[in-house]
Formats: sequence, C-alpha cells, structure tokens
Amino acid sequence: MAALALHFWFLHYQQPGAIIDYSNVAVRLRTVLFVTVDLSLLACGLLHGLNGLYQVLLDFGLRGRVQVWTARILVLLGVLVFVLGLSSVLKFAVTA
Amino acid sequence: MEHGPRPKVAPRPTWLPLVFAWEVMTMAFFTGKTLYDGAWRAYVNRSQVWNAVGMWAWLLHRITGLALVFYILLHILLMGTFLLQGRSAFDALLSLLMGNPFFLGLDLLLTAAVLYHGANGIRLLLFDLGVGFNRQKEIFWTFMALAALVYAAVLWVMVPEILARWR
Repeated sequence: MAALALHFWFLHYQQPGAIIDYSNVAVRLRTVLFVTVDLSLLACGLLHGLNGLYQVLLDFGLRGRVQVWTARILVLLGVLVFVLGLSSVLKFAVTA
Repeated sequence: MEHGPRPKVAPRPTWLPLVFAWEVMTMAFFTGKTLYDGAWRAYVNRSQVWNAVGMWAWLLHRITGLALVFYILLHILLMGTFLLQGRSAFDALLSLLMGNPFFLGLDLLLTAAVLYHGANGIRLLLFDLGVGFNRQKEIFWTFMALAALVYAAVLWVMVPEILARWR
C-alpha cells in the first residue's frame, strides 16, 4: 500500500499535468529508492492480484485438475510478467 | 484421515427428478400464483441480505479487485514493452496516455477503484486481526469517508487539468 501510494504520488500527483517521458523515468530508476519501490510494488501487486483472481475462480467452483492447472498457469503468468517488469526497471540501473 | 463410518441413508430414487419436473410444470401451468409467490418470497428473503451494507462492500471489493488485476497486467505489459523499445516509442505512448483527456478520465476511475479496494482492504485486515470486531459498519463508513476525502483532493487537482486539455 505504501509503495503504491508513493508510486501514485510521484508519477501522477506531485506535478499534475506534467507528462512523464523517458528521461524522467531514467533519472528516477537510477536511484535505489525508486528501484526498490517499483520492484516491491511489482512483486506485491502481481502476487496479491493473481492470488485474488485465483480465489475468485475457486469461488466459482474450480476443482481437481482444472484447479491445479489454473494455479500453475497463474504462477507462470505472474513470473513472466514479473520478469518483463524487472528487465525494464533494471535496464536503467544497469546502464547508469 | 478417518471420519468414522458413513451414515446409512436411503439412496435417492432415480425417478425423483422427474417427479420434481412434473410438479414444477403443473405448478407453472395451473398455479401461476404459487410460482409468483415463490419467486417473490425468494426475492424478499434474498433482499434482506442485500439490504445490509456488508454484501455491497464485498461485491464492490470483488469487482474493483478484478478490474485492478486486469489493469495491472495491462499496465505492466504496456510499460514494460514500451520501455524496452526505447525513448521515442515510450515518449509517444506516455504523451498519449497522460495528455489525452479520455485516458486521464480513465485514470480517475482507476484511482476510485484503488481507493475503494484499498480502504475496504484495510478494514478487512483489521477484522482479520480482531480489531473492531463489533464495529464493522462504523469502521467501513469511516474508511469510506477518508477515501472520499482523498478522492476529492485528487479530483480538485486533476479535473482542471482534464478540462484544460479538453479544450
């Protein structure tokens, strides 16, 4: 929640109306604080969201093999999306 | 894991669903009023649950949660791929998403969903910890008031920006 609040503040409301561009992102993602905030937000958001989606599917009566495979697919989706986000965030840290 | 001997119950006769279907058809044909009364009674009994704010809170929490899951996946995919494609692609995407008043309006919907889901989520977290067990309605409305205040501040800041870009 704290990471999300920071993300919202710095990106949208600290300078309302300002359009963020690539160099703005690059400057921010060279600092340890923002890399930490963004990566922890990425991990927590994906975990919480995909787990919530799984719980909703369970409520709709997912059972047996379908349940197991749905869980595996959601985990795989989470890992793939996390790797995509991680690579885009670390791109700036590496080229700093 | 042992649960003890299974209780002996008479097996359900296979013709029971047919009897049930026949009864439903005869009721529908000759006693429409009975069916109507049944439907009305079902509606009235269910509406007692929906009269309480808790059911609405749960439903809205679920709806906002699902919307946010799909949003977060789209957001990460979009931002990730365009960041990896380089400066010009990313700048073009962000100037569209942050400059177009339609997308800024969608951002306001996103903020509302995040604020509701977050505020209700904190209430659920406190409930799970045993805090305010007997004061759920008061806690719910308190958090909703706080979320409304934050949202009012967001609208105060963003609506002039959206209107300025609309012209």
